[in-house]
Amino acid sequence: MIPKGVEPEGVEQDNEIIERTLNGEPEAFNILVRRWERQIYALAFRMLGREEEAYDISQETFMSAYRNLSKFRGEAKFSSWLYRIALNCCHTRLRTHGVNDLSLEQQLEDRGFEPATNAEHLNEGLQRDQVAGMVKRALAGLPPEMRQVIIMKEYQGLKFHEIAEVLNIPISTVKTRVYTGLEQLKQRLSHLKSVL
Amino acid sequence: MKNQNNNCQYKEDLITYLYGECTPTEEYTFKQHLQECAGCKKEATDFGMVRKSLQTWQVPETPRIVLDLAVARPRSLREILQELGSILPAWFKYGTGFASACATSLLLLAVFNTQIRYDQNGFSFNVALFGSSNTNQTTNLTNQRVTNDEATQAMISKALNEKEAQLNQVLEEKRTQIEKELRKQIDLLTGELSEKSNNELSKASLELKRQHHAELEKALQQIKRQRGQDRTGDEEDPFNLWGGIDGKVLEKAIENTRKFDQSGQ
Repeated sequence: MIPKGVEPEGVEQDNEIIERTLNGEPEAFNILVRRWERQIYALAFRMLGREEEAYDISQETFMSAYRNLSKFRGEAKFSSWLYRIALNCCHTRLRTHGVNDLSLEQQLEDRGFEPATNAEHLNEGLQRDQVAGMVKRALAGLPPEMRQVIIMKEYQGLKFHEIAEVLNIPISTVKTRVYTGLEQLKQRLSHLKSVL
Repeated sequence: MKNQNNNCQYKEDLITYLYGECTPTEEYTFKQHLQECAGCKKEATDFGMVRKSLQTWQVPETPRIVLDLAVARPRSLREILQELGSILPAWFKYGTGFASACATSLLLLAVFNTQIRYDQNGFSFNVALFGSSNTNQTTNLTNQRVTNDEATQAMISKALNEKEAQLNQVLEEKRTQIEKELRKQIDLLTGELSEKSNNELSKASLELKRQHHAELEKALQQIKRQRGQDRTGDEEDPFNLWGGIDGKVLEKAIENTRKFDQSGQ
C-alpha cells in the first residue's frame, strides 16, 4: 500500500512549503494540512476509536506542527514528524481520559453492537461492518505501543524503517511488535477464520 | 517438515516477507525455509487471514481539518496578556490592579523619603527628596563611625606593640644563651689547642737540643783530634788547648747551647 499524501513528481515538496510558510506565507501551511489530514485523521481514529476525538487530535497535531515549524530540522521526513506529533497527542489523550473511557470496545457497546460469539452465528448473518466491529474490538485490546505499530503498518502503509523513524526505535523492535501484535490478533479473531 | 509450533528463529524474516520488504536474496532464502518449516508456513497463512480481516475496518470520510492560522501562529507577549485578561475572573483583575496601586504608592513614598511620626508633639509628616532631612543624622553617624575606626586602630597598634616587645625579649634571652654556650665551646677548644701546641713545641725543642748536642759532640771530637796532633808546644797557651780552633767560635757555640737549654726549659 502506498501512503496517501505522498506528493507526485512536479508537485511542490513538503520542505519547500515549510520554507514558504516560515518566510512569511502562513497560508501555505494549509497545503500541507490538505496533503496529510487524511492520514493523520485515520491514525487518530484508529488509535482512539471516536470520530470527534480523531478530529480534535488532527487539529491539535497540525496546530502544534505549525507553532513549532521553525524547530523542524528536515532530518526526518515531514510526515514522520507529523505522525510523531499525532501519536504523542493520542497517548496524552489516552492517559488523561483513561483507556476505558475511550476504548474501541466501549464505543461499540455505546452503539449497541453485540459482537457475535460463535462461527455459526457469524455464518448466519455476518455483515462486513460486523467483521469490522470485531476487528476494532480486537485492536482495542492491544497495548497502545503494539496497536500503533499495527495501524501504521496495515493502514498507513509505512515501511518498517519509516515506523522506526517515527517512533525512534530499532527496525527489529518494530518487526517484533508487528509479529506479536498479529499473534494476539490471530487469537482474538480466530472465530472469523471460517467466514473469511 | 519440522517445527510444527512456531518457535522458529525466522520470525522477523517472516514479517519482512509477509509485507514484501525482502530483498530478492532474502525472499529466495525465506521461501526455501518455508518449504521446510511447518510452523512458519502456518503462521504465514494465519497472519494473511488476520491482515485480510483488518482491511474490513475502514475509516469514515475524513472531515476537512480547519485551522485558524492567525491564532495558531506564535503570539506576542502583549497578545498573550490580553487573552489572559479576557479569561481571568473580575475579582482577580481588580485585585491585581489594587495590589499594583499599593505597590506603586509604597515605592513613591520610599523615593520621597517620607517620614511619619507620632510623639508628644503629635503627628509629624516629613518629605524630602533624595533624603536631605537626614543629613545631620548621617553626618553624626559618619563621625561616630570615624571615631570608632580610630579607637579600633589604636587598640590594634597597642596590641601589636605589646606583642613585638614580648617577641624582642624572648629573642634577646635566646641570643644571650646561645652566646654563652658558644663562648664556653671556644674556651674549651682554645685549651685543647694550646695543650697540643705546647706538646709540639717541647718535641721540637728536644729535637733541636739533640741536634745541637750532636753538633757539639762533633766539634768536641774534632777538637780532641786536633789537640792530639798539636799537643807539643801549645800547652802554655790556655786557648791553645782546643788545637787551633777559633776560640771565639767555640765560645759562641757553647753560649748558643746554653741559651737553647734555657729556652727549652
